[in-house]
Amino acid sequence: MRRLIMILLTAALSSCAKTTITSPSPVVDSGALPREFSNTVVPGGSASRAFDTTAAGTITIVLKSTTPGGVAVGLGVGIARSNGSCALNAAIEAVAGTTAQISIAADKGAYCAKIYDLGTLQAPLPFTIGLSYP
Amino acid sequence: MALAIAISACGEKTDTPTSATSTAPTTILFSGTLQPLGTRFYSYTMTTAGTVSAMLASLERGNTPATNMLELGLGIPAGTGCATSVASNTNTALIPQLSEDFGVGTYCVRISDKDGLPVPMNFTIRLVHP
Repeated sequence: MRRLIMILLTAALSSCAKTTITSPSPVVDSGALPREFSNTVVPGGSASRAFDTTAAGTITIVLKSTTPGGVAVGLGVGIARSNGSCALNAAIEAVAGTTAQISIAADKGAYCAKIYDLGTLQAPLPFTIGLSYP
Repeated sequence: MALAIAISACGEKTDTPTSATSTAPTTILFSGTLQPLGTRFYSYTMTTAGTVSAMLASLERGNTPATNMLELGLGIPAGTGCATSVASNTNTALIPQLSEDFGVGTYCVRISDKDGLPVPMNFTIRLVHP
């Protein structure tokens, strides 16, 4: 009888050792995602698009196309203000291309891309900007 | 008897994963115009102790970003000014140039032109605190 109790007690305690604790799985960011932004910039004007980065990383911007092509405009990146304006951090004079024209390290937060007339536009200019950010 | 105690104790072992409670940080944008050799400062209040980060994100002359160096500082309001406890000479970036731990209280961020801007320029500072 004493031996039977010992066997049952050992079996009961050994089953306790199989308790497992699981934790929620973190969501893994797959990295920078490409986006596009199309609009029209008018003579003397500008157009911007705000976006949020979900982690620190690199923002890249390319002026992918203008209609007509070969037109130079101002292209910049900055911080998005609550009033909708885009306060520029960096800007270049750009014509449409295929490789990144602006590449800048940024903290997690709210940013913006901006295109603006350099004072040379004679008519509204349709454009597409490519964006990549975490 | 021993068997009953052993089984009973086993059945009460319920470990549940817990997650820490966190509060989203507060982001404030301070924008204004800085005159040549001028200083501007802004106050903010922290209700939770923690790390404050400050970023001189933009300095513009019209649509053109400027690369002038400015002094960015964090500190405590003192009289009609801001007494900085940490400061850095910096140009603009989209990553914080300053980071410092502070307790609960009222603090300030200060921007100063020490070198002499050629013209007044518009700036934007991003501040993040707990």
